[in-house]
Amino acid sequence: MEKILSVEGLSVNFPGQNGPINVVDDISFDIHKGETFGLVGESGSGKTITALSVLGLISAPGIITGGKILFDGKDLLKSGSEYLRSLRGRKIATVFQDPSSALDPVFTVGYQIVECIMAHERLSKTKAKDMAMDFLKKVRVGDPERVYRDYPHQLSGGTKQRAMIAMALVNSPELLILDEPTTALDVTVQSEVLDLLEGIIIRNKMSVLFISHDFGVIARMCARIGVMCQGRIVEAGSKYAVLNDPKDPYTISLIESVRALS
Amino acid sequence: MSMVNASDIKKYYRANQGVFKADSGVVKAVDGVCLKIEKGCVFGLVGESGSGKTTLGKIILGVVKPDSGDVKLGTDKIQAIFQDPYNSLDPKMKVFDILAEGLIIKGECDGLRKRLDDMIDLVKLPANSLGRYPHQFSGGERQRVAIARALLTEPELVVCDEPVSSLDVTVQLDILKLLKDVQRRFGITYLFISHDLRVVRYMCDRVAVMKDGRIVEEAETEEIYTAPEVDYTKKLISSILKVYQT
Repeated sequence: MEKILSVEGLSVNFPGQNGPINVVDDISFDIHKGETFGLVGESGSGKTITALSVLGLISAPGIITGGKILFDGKDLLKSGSEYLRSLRGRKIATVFQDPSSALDPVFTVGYQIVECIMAHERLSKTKAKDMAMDFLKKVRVGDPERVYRDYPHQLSGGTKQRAMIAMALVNSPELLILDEPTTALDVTVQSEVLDLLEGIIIRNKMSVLFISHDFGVIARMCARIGVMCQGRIVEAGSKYAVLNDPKDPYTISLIESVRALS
Repeated sequence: MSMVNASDIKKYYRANQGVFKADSGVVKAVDGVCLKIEKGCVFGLVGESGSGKTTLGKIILGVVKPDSGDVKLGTDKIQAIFQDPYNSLDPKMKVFDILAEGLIIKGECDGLRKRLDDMIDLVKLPANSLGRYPHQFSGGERQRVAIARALLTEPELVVCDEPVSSLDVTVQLDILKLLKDVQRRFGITYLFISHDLRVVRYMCDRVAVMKDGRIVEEAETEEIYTAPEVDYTKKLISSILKVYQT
């Protein structure tokens, strides 16, 4: 199968009290077209820094010290910031954990979605508005007209996250990065949003990097997963192999804890 | 005699109260709750955000005064463990002072050092912990400090409000084991508040499900999880994600 993203030997350092810390330490993984690959690990294991590296959003004092990130065959680490900017939001879109901080509080949700469309495409404002409404309907918010007009603080967490998903989808990205997209939500809302995402991913045959600390969510959404611990991928494989028959001692202890609590 | 006996508790808050807000609706945080907890029981209160769990916990603790209703407690030895030890421990106090404060207030100064050392040992904190500040500990260790502080005054009832929600899963399990262990050893009654259905199942003997300020269902833990009766409980239980793949 064709690869959409290929990360090879990526390392990221941040300065610490006793010299640099390898927050991401020589990790490699591939995402094939139409596949959802999951990265799972505890806090501080390097999951989000991996995602930010792919997006070209590691900024000082963090430094990428080595490796390659091949997207569409091009090494993103050798690409200029203009090129990366043109990718973000268009070919690579992201949904982060906390929709309240991802949305700008002083603009309406509709304005922000339209802005996202017009940043990458030459369209009239009315056309962009129609598109935004169309995507708000696709993510099944209760009352799209109202959500379009509302400011973020007027909406519930679940609705805000649906709006974020709409915003990520408007430019038909080739790779979707979901970084803990349901962690801030209540369980019943979480299961609705996961249902929604699953439908969209399957229907559009999307390629996804799915990041979560929650093994239940990862198991539900991903076919293949990698387990991260202290900046390394300690075990990777199909979810059946990793979850039912883990080999790495860290994964084993982690899954034992998860099982004891389920 | 039961440890907690609360009847028809109500607590309403006025919403939208502000200079620019015209409409002032009412949020029924707790809306007619009756609660009975037997001595030595671990009683779980589960619900989604905004369901009124924490407000009810605070009413039992006596921190919030209910608008109406009556709370009878079987003890005055009551303690609390909160979600976020970053907020619940004073950053300017050493662990020694944090732990000693309660005993000093009670006038129990004899053998203070020995009691603190024993407690540090019981909650499995490193021996040199007493001389350190909260920021020098990990999240899990900090929660152990909070547990130690709660246990020192030998409470009979402890309100645990989301005690493991800010922790990683392996640390969660360690803390839950500790909480369970001391509960059994000292026969403490817990009111255990959590949004996490898995954690509640692991910890509790009996569970009440809260929604919109009311208890919609209450039963023995296994019953709630295997044969829920109310639609909302069914929805909650079915939203638990499986890890083991078949």
